[in-house]
Amino acid sequence: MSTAKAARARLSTFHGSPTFAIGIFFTSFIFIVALVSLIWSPYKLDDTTGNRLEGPNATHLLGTDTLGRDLLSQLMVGARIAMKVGFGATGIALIIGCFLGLLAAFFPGWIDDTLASIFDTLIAFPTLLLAMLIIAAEGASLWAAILAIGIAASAIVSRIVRILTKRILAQQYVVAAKTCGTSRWEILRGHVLPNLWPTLIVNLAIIYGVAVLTEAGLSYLGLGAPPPSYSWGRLLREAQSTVLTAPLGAIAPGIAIILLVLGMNFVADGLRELFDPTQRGNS
Amino acid sequence: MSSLLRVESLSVAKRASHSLDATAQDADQLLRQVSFNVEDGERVGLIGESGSGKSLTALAIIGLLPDSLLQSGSVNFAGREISSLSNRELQKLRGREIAVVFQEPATALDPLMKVGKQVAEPIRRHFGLRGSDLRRSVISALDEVQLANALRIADSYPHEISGGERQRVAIAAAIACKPRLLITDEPTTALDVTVQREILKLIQNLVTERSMSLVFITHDLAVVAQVVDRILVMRRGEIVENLSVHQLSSAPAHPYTQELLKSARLLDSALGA
Repeated sequence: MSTAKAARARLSTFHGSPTFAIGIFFTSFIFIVALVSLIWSPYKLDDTTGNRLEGPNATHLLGTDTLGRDLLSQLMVGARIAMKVGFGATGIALIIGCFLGLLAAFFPGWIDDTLASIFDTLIAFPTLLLAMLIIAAEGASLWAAILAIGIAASAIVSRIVRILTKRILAQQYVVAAKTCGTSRWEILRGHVLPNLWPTLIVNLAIIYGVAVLTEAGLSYLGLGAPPPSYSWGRLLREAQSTVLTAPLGAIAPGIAIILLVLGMNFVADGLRELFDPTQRGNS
Repeated sequence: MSSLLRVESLSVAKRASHSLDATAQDADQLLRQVSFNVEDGERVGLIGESGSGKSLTALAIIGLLPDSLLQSGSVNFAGREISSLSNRELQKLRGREIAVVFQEPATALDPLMKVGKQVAEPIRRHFGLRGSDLRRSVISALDEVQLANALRIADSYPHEISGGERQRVAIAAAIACKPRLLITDEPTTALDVTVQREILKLIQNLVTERSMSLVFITHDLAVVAQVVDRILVMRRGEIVENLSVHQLSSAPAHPYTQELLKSARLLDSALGA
């Protein structure tokens, strides 16, 4: 019964919030494209048999690039890279951020003070700059970019987790749980994590979008995945020199980036509404 | 007669006051030489204005004073010194032998956890019950606080039930493991008057039925007089009066108690009672 109720609540959220529905549509569209590219794409990436800089036509739906490669195929593979970056960097940020944030919140005193000032210092750096620093040390590769973005974003997650956890630990229900003999570990599992999760997942959706955008920026600067793995940022860079003769080469990856990043932000907004306690119990 | 709870010269102060100024140190003193006993089955009211140290006393009894506070003196529960117990021993004690009901039932329950689960937690922990046994004892705990629809309540979230029901749930969670001492920290303050009366009656009945000891914290003299045998009046971290309910109207010694009594009577006459 409760799952049916939850499903109905979710449906009504779709109803009440078109942005959430649009967000889900955009992101799942990109996700499906990425999945499809695993088994099928119109052309192989190294297939240079097409004419150079073709416009959209029946054989090349989005045209070709300077080497005669199919743009649609490149975009589809790019979706896969974007997914890797999004999930990879967000996952890394989640793991590091939860660990450090909870550590800081559960151990007030010098551990908390030290970690908090580290988070604040890291946040003061722009994500892109921090990622560039890490890549400068590690060398450019897709995984270095993912790691770098993940680490940069983990400062944000750490800070959110730390502050939220502190707030939750100060709640009366945690004190009440302690008076019932609940151990620290049980409080973490039973009270802190469930109350942390709604706010955290909203922020993770935003971080996902930021990660994709940052990777596009890095690739555009030539610091992302090296060829032949063409991320959307890389496609933008390649198309730069021919943007006046073949504008679609720049517009198409640009739109792809917008779809995913905007979609993720819409999803974050929708989730925020879904988890908002003032909206609870209305449905 | 053996005392269940013996508090002797309990003092609590803020830690790390660097000031050498004597008056500043004085201000950091939150509890001063608080001493009282609670006998087995006795019901004691702890009364005083806000900031007088009532709730702090309750936290000290259950060993939950924040680390930033410095405690001296002794809190002895059933022969055990609370401050010398390990964390694990304290966890076994809390909820099992001493339980607390808080003022605000809306915040004392986790908003994201089903009510039944919150009542189940202490039972699971202290009695090791699982599955349908656990479920059965949760329902009977909810029945015991006279919740009409225990099955429905158990599957509700806190925001889905009323304030009075929430406080009954909090009481059910507190008494589920049959503690020997129940501490209630302003349990009726957040409730409206009719619900207040029901909750008071419930606490009274439960305490009598199970011959639990009770420490009833409140700022409301009229409320406490109905429930307890003995009254401790606290002011600015000190106990200024310790007398039985029967003595209350005839022989309050401390001017603060007299004042409390006077204002309670004034209120009564203003209401035409």
